[in-house]
Amino acid sequence: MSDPQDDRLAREVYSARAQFQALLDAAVDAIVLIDRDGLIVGFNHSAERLFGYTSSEVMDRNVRMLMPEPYRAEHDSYIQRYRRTREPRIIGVGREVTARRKDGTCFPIDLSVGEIADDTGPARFVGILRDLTERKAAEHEMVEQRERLAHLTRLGTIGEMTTAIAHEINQPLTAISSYAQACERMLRAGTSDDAELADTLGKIGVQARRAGEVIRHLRRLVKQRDSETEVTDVNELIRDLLHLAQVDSRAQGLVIRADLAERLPPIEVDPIQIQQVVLNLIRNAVDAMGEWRADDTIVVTSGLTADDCVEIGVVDSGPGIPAHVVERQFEPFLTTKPEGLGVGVSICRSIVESHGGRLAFEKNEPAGTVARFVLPALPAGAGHTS
Amino acid sequence: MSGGETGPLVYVVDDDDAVRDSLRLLFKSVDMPVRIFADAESFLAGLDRGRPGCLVCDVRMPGTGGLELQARMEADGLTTPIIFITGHGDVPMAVDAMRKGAVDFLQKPFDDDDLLDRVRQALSGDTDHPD
Repeated sequence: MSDPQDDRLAREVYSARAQFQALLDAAVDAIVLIDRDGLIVGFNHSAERLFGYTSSEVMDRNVRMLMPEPYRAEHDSYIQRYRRTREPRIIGVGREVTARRKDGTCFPIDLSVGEIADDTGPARFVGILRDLTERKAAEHEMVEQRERLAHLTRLGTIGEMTTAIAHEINQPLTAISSYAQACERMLRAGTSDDAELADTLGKIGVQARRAGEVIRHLRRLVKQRDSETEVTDVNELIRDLLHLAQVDSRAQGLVIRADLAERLPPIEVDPIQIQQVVLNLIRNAVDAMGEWRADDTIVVTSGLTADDCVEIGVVDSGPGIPAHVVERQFEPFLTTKPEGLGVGVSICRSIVESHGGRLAFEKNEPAGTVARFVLPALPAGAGHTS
Repeated sequence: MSGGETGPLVYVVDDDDAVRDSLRLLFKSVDMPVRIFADAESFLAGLDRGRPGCLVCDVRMPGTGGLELQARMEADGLTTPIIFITGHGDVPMAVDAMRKGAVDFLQKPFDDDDLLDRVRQALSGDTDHPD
């Protein structure tokens, strides 16, 4: 004889369990339940698909089997520490960790952990896992693409600048050659005068150093390396770049000058990437100005915004950008140039945003365009600003 | 070589101070009278039209560039022969300049004999056909 009330309770428990299992198995995310010792007490269909284990293969086994080292070795101590201190490290927070499939391969997951606390027994934990493989791959591809594009424009810019650089090196070489040949002729003809010879030898030395300086700056710009951030003085970064930009533009008869604010806080950036952005913006400005007058200039500015960001501006005195372009400036591949691909600004924006900054164009008064981007500053005095 | 106040003059137009100064010394070393200018405008203002001459001119300069100067001289009826010098090795530009009557096109840095020979040839031509 069974107690009808017990029967009803048993049916209710059974029904609740069935509902619970149905819920678990219907979930898109993988769900793993463990007891206070880390033994697996629940494993839904999604978890089976994700890890390649059947539920029966993992039941009552330690959950660390789903983890690669070093978590595998340390997981028991995580649980013990939590039981001792009640200080959650992951519970209720969720984080990105690495999981291990049955075949031993590892994959990134987003893991959130909750505690099942009831009066009937020791605490248990529920882990909800989302596979991040695809998202990671997409992110990785995006980063790769950005770096490839950045590299391409760097090479493109360098390619275009090679002519200007060659010019800039050939000038001192020409002077050295002509000075030397003049001295030789005067010496052979017996028309030399010691003071003039000494003077000319001095000039030859100056020109040799001038050529060396151009090469030194060029090498800094094309130095191959991965994206690396360093604590940087924004003004030093701009001055270094302007030396090259002036080489580039002087050949075309345009003046570029700097208007830099003093005592700016340091920024932590990849200096090469930021220089590429400024160079791109300068070249855009040069292109935008088309036919310029003798007094036209491009000014590169630095300053501090009201919210303590470092701001870099490239100001031209050209015809300015049309209103419809100002409105559409955030569209990718927007271009105003007949042969332009609109890639330059997209890459500039992408680089600036990857540094936690933003880039915008606006009208300059009384004429021209301002391209302006801000970068987060480090607290004054952080790092060294050399 | 004929110096003095009426002999042929070499004009050097180059915006680079060092190139200009070194060419001044080079022509001086072979006793050829030379006048140097930093840009096209000052050259046009300082050109002695009554005297045979030869222009040694940089192609790329701020303001009026070499080819533009060539066009303006032609429009003004100036037949002063032009030897272009360039640091770019810009072939299409060289072809264009030669087609428009430039005497020669030398890439920087050049051999002094090449330059002096070209200048002498140009001056003898210019002296043969004074304007």
